[in-house]
Amino acid sequence: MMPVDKMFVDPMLQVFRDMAAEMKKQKHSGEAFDKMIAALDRMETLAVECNDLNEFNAKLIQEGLQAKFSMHYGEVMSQAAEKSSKAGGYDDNTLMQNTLRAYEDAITRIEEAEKVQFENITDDVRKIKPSIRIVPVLRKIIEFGKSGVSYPEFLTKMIVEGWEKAMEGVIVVRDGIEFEIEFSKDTGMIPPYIEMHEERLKAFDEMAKKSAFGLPDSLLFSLKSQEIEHKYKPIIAKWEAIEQRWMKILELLLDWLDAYCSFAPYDGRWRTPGCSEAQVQKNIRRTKGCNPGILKQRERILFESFGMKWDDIFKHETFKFRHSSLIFPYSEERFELIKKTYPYCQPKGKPVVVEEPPKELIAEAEKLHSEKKVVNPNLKIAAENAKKIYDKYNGEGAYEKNFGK
Amino acid sequence: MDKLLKDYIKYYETRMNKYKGNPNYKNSYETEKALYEAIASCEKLEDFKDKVEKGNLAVRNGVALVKDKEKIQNEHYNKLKEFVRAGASKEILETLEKKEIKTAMELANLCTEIEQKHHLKITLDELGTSQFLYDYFILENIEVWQNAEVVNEFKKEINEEWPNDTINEGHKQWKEQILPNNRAWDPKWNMDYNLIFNEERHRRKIPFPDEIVKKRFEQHKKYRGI
Repeated sequence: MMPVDKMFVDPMLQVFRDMAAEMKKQKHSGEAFDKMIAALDRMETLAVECNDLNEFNAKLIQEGLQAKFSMHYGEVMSQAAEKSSKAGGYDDNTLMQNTLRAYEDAITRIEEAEKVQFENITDDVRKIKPSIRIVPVLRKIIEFGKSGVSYPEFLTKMIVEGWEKAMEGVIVVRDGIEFEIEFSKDTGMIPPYIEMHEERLKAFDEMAKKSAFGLPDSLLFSLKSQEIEHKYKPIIAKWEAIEQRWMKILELLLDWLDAYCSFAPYDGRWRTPGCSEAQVQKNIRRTKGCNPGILKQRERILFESFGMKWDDIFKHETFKFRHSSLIFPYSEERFELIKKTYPYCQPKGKPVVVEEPPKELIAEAEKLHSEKKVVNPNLKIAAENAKKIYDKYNGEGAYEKNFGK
Repeated sequence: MDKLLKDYIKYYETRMNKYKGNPNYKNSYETEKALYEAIASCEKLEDFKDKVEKGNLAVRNGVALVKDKEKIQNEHYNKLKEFVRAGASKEILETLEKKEIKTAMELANLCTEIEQKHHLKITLDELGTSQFLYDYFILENIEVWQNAEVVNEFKKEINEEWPNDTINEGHKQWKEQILPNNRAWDPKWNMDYNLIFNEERHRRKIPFPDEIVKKRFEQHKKYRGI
């Protein structure tokens, strides 16, 4: 038996440990409190008894321990509130003060979290950060609450101004979708994925327009969002499956041609770490002698699965899109060379014989390799775009900090 | 009339109007209306507390909102033919029809317990399809290697050794990791190919023709030793 690593357990259980510790400090007791502590103890025991994170997770869900803890926590809190109410501790003024204090604490929490996560965040970025956008709403609510209004006037305004919905998080949802669209467009995500988020954005705006208070009902929007994602799921799956298969075909062709080049013995595709000269030569012979047969099988699978032959690849929307995108992996010259190689990459006869590709194609491949023209130069732009957008939303330098250079 | 009472009447009227004419929140409108009528008929704010307690209006209001929201979710999942996901809302609605809820805590606990139970069912429902999709490209590779026409020097390696080594590794992973992991969720869990093929919620995630999928199921059984 090996306990689950503390690195995984602590983030999962710490919040429950803190809640329990706070309750103990406040000297709560009773049946619900005991049951809450028992649920936490069971979680701690499982963390020691389980062999890995998956088993731990499964057991927590199976036994419903997090839910049990939360349920009993709620019971303890509700009993305490009832006790206090009966003792005359709760009135409109107290409720107002507690509500406003909760919002003030929320502002502090958001701002502290932002400081920790994004040290170099600029004011411009601050303005568009989704979580920061909620702060002005919170300030407005607090200001109104302190303006001498009664508690019911305050609650009425929360509904009428749509602040209640803002607190449900609806206000940040639209920003999140906009970010997703911008990021996807600039980093080469496939069109159905972008269309899906555009449709979500359109649905959000339509629902907001129809709503009495200018923001969609969070439940109805979340279901609409699910409906749209559900519609696109098979479309995206098919798109990705087709692309993955023709990409494999191109890769088999370019590896085959490159195996005949003078740089092949020094290339990582054939010179794997620690392998001998003989092994390198064997690896090259394998690619030369097997890729044509493997290519033929991969073409058969593409045809059986999607009715596409070699020529159909280049007319297909998945290819046209990827070819024109910033993240098509190959330079235009190399792609043309791959196409020219295709007619020669064929297994022939029995026993199988593979003929060499024409000398001029090998020479062309060697030239592209020596001139470093094998990859799409736009890949750099795509990487820059990803970095730029990430930094725009998360603060200057955040990309390098989180993902390295 | 006391200003605070007036403010509360306006507040409850606003709450009621939030649901007025909204077909999705019919139950909530009725119970909000009951609360509004109760407070509007009070001469003193203190009377409202008695009326709410006597009619258990606050809890009835909570139950109404849960019913409305669960009904929306149930219709949504059934429309998408996501019948397992529709399970929680169906059970909550059926339970609320039969059971009288006395406190807000009872309502919250009931919903949490049912949702938790169904969360597990959703996870179990999706385990097989996720695994099959995860393995799909490897199944193609095995077929490709087994059938590729290659030069004699590599015939045995490509046509036999690569597929067999991959299959042996597939068996090992299944026995030592995948099956024990999945059975941690449910000790009776087994790969169910009929479920993947016949239930639209699963089949729609696999973008390949029926005949090919059936062939891959057979290959999957061999690959994982099922």
